[in-house]
Amino acid sequence: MKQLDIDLAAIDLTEKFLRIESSGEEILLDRIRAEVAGGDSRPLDEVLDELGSDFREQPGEFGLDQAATLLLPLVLPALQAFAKIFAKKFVEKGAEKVAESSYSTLRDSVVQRFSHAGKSDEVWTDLEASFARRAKELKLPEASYRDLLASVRDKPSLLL
Amino acid sequence: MQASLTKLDLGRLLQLPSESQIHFVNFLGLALMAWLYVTVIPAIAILYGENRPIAGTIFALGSCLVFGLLIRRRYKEQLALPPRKIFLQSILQSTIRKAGRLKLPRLARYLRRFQTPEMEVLSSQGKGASFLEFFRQRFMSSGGDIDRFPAVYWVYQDLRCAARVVGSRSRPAVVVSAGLLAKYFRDPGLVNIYLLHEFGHLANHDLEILAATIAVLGAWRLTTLIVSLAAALLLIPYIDSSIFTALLLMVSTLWVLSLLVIWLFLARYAGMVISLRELYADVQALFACGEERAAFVRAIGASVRPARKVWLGKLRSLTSLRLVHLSPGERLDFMARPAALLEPKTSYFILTALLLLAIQSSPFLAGYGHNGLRLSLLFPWILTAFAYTANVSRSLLGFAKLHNVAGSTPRWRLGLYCTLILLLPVLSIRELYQTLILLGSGDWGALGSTVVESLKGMAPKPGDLSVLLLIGCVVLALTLGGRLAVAQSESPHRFHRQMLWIWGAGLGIETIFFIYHEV
Repeated sequence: MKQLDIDLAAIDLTEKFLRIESSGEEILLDRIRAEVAGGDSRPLDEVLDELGSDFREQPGEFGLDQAATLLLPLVLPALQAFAKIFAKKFVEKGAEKVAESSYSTLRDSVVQRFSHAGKSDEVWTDLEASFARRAKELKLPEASYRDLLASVRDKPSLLL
Repeated sequence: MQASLTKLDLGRLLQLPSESQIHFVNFLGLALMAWLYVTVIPAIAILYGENRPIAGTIFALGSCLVFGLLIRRRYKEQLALPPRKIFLQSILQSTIRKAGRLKLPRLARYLRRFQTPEMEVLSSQGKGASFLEFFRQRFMSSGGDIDRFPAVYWVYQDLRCAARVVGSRSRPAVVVSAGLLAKYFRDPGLVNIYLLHEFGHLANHDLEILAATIAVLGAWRLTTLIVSLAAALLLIPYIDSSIFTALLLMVSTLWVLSLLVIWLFLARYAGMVISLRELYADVQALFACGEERAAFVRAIGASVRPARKVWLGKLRSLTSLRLVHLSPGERLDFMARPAALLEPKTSYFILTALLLLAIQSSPFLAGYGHNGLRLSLLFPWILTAFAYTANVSRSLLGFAKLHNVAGSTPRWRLGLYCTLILLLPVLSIRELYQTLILLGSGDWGALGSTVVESLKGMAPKPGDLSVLLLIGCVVLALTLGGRLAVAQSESPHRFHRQMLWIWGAGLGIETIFFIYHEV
């Protein structure tokens, strides 16, 4: 599966996750989608690398001491990593392989899998591992994603 | 926060002349003085002294042209909307992308710290429309001028909570970060304070002050570099193995060191002008937020930085404009102590005065029979004297209008400071530099006696114009002292007009004295 499809599927899945939390970050996600899927398409990794909190402060800037605490820098890379694993395990090699793989196929497969997976399904383990890895990179505690994942696991229909 | 700073007090405080504008005028005077010190005065003194008047004139006019053109260019750049992309920033951006593709994330992350992220117009589609409507409502309720409705830009890469104003007074824009935009959907009360602060900048006409401060500082730095290199090239033919070359090297080293000190002071002062601008935008925000003071305190003091970071920030602000903000604690403290907002910040004027004294005592001015060169220093000093008179006038008026604010400086002291500031251009200490060199051998007594001799030389003698000057200054101080009572009964406009007369009279007295004595 192409990297672009994985990236776009991750963006769509992130939108669904962020909707659960009503985080208000959809506007940023739309902008990222335009970078990845637009005319001068760029890899999601590159776009994500450009997001940050360590920009040089501009003279006359207000509010430097206020933490933004966004979910997107955690959720999007975690779901991108998860989508990559999922594509390898379940779409490219697995029983759900389809003739024409695309990002919508991948996204729908993930949502379907979540809807029918039991509590102990390996898909949850993979998802949690992806979030844990990203949280570690960002030096965030487990609590930063625990509630979100619990909501998805308890009520996968939220993603539909 | 102290309850004494009522909405009525805030309203009166905002009617006073802006302190950032006053200090900007002093900064301008200081920068001009520093520029004269660095370029024009030495060029004229040395080249005229060497009997090369044409070369001297070309050198001086060239530096005037470079300084003027650089200021104009930087000023226009600062006010451009959308901001012009600087060539270096484009190179930086492509290097960062290449580093990312080459799997060098640490290098990319390091370089990104120097990058200014690009801003773009916030779309009025989807969630953007909701924010834009909120923005419009806040602007109207804060009493903003509908004819100068600001455009809204955002920086999607910036995950911090930050906002700033860009553009010019006639064509302003507010730039918000992605972090702040996301915050709006969860905590609109907090974002409201951010917007009120930015609207405060527009109400205070701060855009031009920031642009001019940055332009003057940048132009001074570059002109100094160009002129110093040109001067070094002119001196090359005189370098040989004689004692003269050793002296030349010593003077050059001291010269470069003095330039560094002036640069540090200019940068620090520019930072101070910008932080005052922030402080008065806070006052505007506090005034506009009315009963929502808790949200204001939350926005300003949301997180206190560790003490180590605060100190590092203060050190960095010595050399750059990157960290010019007062800490949240300091900003809230100013809001709670209105007296601190009214007192004239005399120390900055005294530092400017010391620079003037150092320049006036320079052997470049005393040598070659060019004492008249000191006259050129009157021009920047007029700005400083005006700024100080305005600062004192503002203070007197403020204490008169804000009845319940305690802790004003005694009137006689303000009058004395004002008189001293006005008198300073006539003061110079002969042989100051030679005496300072003697300090290296521990001869402190020589410095004291030099200062005393210089002051004695300036003491008025019977029949001298100095007596008239002294009388003029005493009258000035007394008139100034009487302003407080007048301010309580008269309109601010009348008060300011009278203060302008005092300033003009003071300058007139000192100019006559100066020309009589020096030319």
